Amino acid sequence: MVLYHVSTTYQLLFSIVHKLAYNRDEESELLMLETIRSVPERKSFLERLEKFAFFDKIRYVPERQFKLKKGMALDETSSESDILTVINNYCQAFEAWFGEDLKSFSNIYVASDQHALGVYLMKNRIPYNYMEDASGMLSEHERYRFIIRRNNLTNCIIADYLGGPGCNDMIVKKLCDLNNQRKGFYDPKAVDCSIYDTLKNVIPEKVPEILRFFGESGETVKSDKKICLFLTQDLNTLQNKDIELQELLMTLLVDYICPEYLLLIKPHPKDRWQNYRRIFPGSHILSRKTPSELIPFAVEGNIESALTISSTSIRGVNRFVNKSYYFTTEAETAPQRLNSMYVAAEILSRLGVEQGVELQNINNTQMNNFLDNVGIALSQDSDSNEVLIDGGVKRNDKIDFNAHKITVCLSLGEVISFSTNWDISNMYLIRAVYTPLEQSLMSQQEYLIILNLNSDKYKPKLNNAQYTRELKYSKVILGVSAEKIDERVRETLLQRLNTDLEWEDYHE
Amino acid sequence: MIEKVSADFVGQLYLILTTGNEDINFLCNCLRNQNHEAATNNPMNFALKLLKINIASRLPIIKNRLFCEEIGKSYLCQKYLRPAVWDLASGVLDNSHIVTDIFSSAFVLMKSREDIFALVERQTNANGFAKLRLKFDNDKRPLEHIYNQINQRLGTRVDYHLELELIKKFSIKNRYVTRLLDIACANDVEITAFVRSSYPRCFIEKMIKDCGIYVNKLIISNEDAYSSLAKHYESTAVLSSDYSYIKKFMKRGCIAVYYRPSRLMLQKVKHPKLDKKFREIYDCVCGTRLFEGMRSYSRVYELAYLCIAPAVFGYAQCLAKTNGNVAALDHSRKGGLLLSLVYDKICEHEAFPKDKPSADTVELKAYLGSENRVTEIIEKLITCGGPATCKLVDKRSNSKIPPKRLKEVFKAVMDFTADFCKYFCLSSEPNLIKGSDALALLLQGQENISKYIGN
Repeated sequence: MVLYHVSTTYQLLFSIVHKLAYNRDEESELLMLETIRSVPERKSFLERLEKFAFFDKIRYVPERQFKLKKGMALDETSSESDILTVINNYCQAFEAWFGEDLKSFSNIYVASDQHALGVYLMKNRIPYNYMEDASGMLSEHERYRFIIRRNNLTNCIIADYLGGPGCNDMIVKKLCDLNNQRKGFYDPKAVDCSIYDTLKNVIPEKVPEILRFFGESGETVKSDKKICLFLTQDLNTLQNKDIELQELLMTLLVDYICPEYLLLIKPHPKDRWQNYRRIFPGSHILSRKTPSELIPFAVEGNIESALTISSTSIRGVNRFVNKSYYFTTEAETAPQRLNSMYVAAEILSRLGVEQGVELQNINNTQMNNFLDNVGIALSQDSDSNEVLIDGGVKRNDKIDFNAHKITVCLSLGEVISFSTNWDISNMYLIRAVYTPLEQSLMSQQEYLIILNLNSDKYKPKLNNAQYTRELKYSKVILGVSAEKIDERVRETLLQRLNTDLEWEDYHE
Repeated sequence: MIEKVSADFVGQLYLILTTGNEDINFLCNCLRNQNHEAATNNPMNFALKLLKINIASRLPIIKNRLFCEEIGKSYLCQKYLRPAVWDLASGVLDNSHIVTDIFSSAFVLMKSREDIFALVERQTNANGFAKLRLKFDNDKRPLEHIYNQINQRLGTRVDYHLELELIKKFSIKNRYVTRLLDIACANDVEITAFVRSSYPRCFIEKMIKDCGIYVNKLIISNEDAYSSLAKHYESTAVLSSDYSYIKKFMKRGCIAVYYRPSRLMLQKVKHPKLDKKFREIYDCVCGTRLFEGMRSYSRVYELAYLCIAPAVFGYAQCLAKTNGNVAALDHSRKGGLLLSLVYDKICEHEAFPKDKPSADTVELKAYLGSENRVTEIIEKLITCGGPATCKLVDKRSNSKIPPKRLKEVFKAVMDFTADFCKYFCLSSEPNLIKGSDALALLLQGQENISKYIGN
């Protein structure tokens, strides 16, 4: 007999697929955390699972009950004896409830091993197989730990004491989608197990049944327009939990990347906090209970691109979309930088740049997304770079303006990217002004970009770089203008530089 | 013993302990919001605290001790902590239906209804109007009928649309409550707005729509077809700032979601002695900013907003009113820069008359000194929070404040400036902050300003 333990819909899908593919003839039991569904939905969800009979026995794990029995809350200052007391209480509560001998299972597969079952297995030195929390999450250990800590500090302390979530030495194999891990990831225990590949190649006959279970019936989305799949996230796992900021961020990214596409929104299973019908009128919203891995099997039509702020699930959709855009967690911690980067990419596109762009001092992933979206390729070799984009995050006034035909200086740091000794003879100041309309969540903002044009090829096209555009979802008017930097403008920029430097080093 | 208790029983017990009256409900929720984990991992301790609140709230003699917080001395934003809106919504979404009264929850009225009536009286020169309007106020009668009755009595022709315009003008969207309703809507929770008001349906519908709220059903008490409340409301949450409204629905089985009005939260806090009129405005404006619930504020921000900002704003007002020497402000110093930024903001507002000097505005200026010393003084306020005496000014402070903290102070002062200017713009009455009030607030917070902002 085999045992599976899950806490999220993704993990449930993974378990179903794994069980049907690799433990088809084995008797099986499934343990799910109560929180996998809200209270009103729990009973019907359990009945539905039982009806589909993927597993022989299914139970909810009453973690809320165990919480009351832990005895105390833990934090970083807790003593070892307190931690051990809580672990003992926790394990006793689980054992009393579970009522079976875990050693009788031939294989145990556990996702989210920071909960009762995982703690019990680790404490009692029972070997188990680990399933990654979400697609690509095995290589994001720090981020995962941060999420656990935010959700439940006590469980995080316990998990750390026992070796770390997903790191205990009782783990035999770590099942994951190897293609979606971070570049350079290596774990000797990692075993490749992709949901998409397994469904497509190992158990294709089971796909309709699994789709029906998750509530889809070959949902068809047909459109003449290109389709963009937008993947949302659980607010609880985000660095910045400001709900208004997250809404603004989403609308800006959609306005930047795919304003004219049909937007196909796949909410995270726990994402109940944004009203996508209101935010993106005219979009098609998939059921949040449908795991994103099933989308290619449930949607007719070509999905041109996928977009997310920082969901690792995007790695799982790479197989069935033409392009994917992932903006990293820096999009939440420094969202204003995205505005400058977008404008920079737009300007280069309007100047007719197509390739040969070098990046420096900037978030490469984000800038590359904007460049790729307007059809500009990054440089392949350093000798033929026409364009340099410098982010100015760390101030570096040693820019050789003669080395490139176009140099774009963004001010992404605390201090404006400008210097007293810059030669302004070929320099232009680009102003990007964001003017909010009614009910917009954005405030009035202005971004300054310094553009140095060495080549006469581009100067005549500078007028094209000036434009006005309505960002319809963000309800903002973006106006971009350019002016030659003369002595007057230079003085203004130097004043601004002095003020910024003063703030950086403020003291009496 | 607690191990034998089921989670459902604990939930029931929590409900009983937290819904006695509005103070109990509010304070218990604040306690829970301050530390979620402690409530579930140390339930005995938590239950004792709830019990203490219950007992204290019901005994008039010690009730006041529950609200012993003081401006500038207590960290109010931490004490009176609302849950994150999505956290509150998670409790609401377990229900299929939500009932709300909209007006006292989704909107914040920046003036009291009595003040609105007084404004109508002033604008129409209908003497006695305000008193009669209050007397005839009845949410089961349409506004038009009420006005007809008043006009008959006074022999006037006051149009009720004026009151509607004023209500609209002085109502600000409560972003927390509207976001909560938006989340409910996104999850297909049916929203019924049950409004006890004499205002017409078209007016209420427009207010709701302009706010971006969607309701499935709107019931208004003044309509002929107004249906009485249903006997039972299964799987229903009730949301309001009016606890008596909530109580009515709780008796029918609803789950209570009490949103305590932000201005009320500050009203209950101990203030230094302030001018009555200024205090009303201060509580309303500051309460809305700090306790709305969409953002949480640090201690530095709160101190700067409540205690430092009135002094800086008051001084800048004084400069504006008395044509002070703005050029003398040293813009290279942080104090001078801050003061000039506030001054510019004040002067932007058309509602601020520049030609009318006033005696009480110079009080603060006299205390703080002339413009060329005020930059140092304001820096002193920021670093030490001490009373700006000549002695202090002569000693140049060697303290270094991290830029991040100083930026928070700047932000708080600029936010205060924007909020007060907006309020004054609405009311068209450029109420000036008296020097004595600003100083009282500053002195109230001086110890903590020194501790948390200065070094």
